[in-house]
Amino acid sequence: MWKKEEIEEEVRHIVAKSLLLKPELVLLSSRFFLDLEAESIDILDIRFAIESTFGFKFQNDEIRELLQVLANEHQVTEKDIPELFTVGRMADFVVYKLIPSS
Amino acid sequence: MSTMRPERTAVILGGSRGVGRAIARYLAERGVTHLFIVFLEQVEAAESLTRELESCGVKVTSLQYNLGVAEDIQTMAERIRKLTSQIDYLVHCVALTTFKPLMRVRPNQWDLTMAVSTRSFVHVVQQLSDLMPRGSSVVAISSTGSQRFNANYGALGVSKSALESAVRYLAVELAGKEIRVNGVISGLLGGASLPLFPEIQEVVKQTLERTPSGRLGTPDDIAEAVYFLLTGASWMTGQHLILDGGFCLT
Ligand SMILES: NC(=O)c1ccc[n+]([C@@H]2O[C@H](COP(=O)([O-])OP(=O)(O)OC[C@H]3O[C@@H](n4cnc5c(N)ncnc54)[C@H](OP(=O)(O)O)[C@@H]3O)[C@@H](O)[C@H]2O)c1
Repeated sequence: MWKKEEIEEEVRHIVAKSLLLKPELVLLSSRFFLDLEAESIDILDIRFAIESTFGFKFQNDEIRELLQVLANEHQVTEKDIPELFTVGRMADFVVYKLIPSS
Repeated sequence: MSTMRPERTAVILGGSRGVGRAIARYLAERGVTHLFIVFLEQVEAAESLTRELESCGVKVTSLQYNLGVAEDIQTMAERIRKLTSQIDYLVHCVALTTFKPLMRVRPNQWDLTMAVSTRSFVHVVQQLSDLMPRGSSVVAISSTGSQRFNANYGALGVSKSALESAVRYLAVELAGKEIRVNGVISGLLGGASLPLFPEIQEVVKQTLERTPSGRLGTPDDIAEAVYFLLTGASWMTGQHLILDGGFCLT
């Protein structure tokens, strides 16, 4: 059974490995597109690694939906999403999938 | 033109959208009785195709697996094995990449491109060829960027070259089982994938200027050639048909 902190740590390591960065440079507050210079193919790569590591599948554009939820929450448009899409948000999503009660 | 006998089964990797979808329709209209459609995540596209083809009396099994992951391919093959004892046609119509100069492609981007666009072809053939009877056939979809420079196409261009090489190797290795393996090399097609490419309007303009036939290809153009390779062309193996409206001649 995963704990929230373990999930966050693991997601940070997955992101670092995919983007060839030192883990200490990947923070929960790091923004994928702005701080880490990730591209959409990297998000897919990270997604696939998350699926293998945690043993669940993203369904039906779930990442896009996650971004949409973010945009709605902050009442911003899609073009502002890069500002909001952080490693922590991705980790939150995994936490939500694995520990729905959290 | 050869005609199909009853009870024909086809597996189309990447069959839910774009070119694969056109191939699925083309085969369904020409007598394939059971289609396995493999896709990644767009469930609605797979479901709507399933509904459409089933209403025409074709059995459709849609399979959601990530062809970039070896374990997924194994699980998919096991599932197919439980549902059919024979595959007559296998089509690889999947690619995933980043469009930018090869000089800027990062290792993870390279690996993902190769895994989805090339490795999956060889791995699926390895897993399923024992279900393929004598006279059956495999086709892989490549692109003209495998043979010549296309700006921002380096990662997929290299991956497609490897795919074409795999077609030749598998053709020889499977010839003893009388399974033919061929490929289609497609030029730029009009359609849904276009906007992903940088400066696509300019690329379209330049492509059209150099295309003697004066138009971009369509998924149906590719489906027609795939059908020929699958069902006709009985002495052809390890080869590629180039479909580009004459672009590569100019
Ligand atoms: N379009 C062109 O101009 C063009 C030109 C030359 C060659 N080609 C080649 O034709 C083939 C098809 O291209 P397209 O434009 O038709 O593509 P597309 O419209 O993007 O469709 C791709 C198909 O592959 C599936 N897919 C993608 N990644 C997958 C994965 N990891 N695991 C399982 N399924 C996956 C998709 O499923 P989801 O729907 O679930 O994502 C979809 O069914 C490719 O090999 C491409 O290189 C295309």
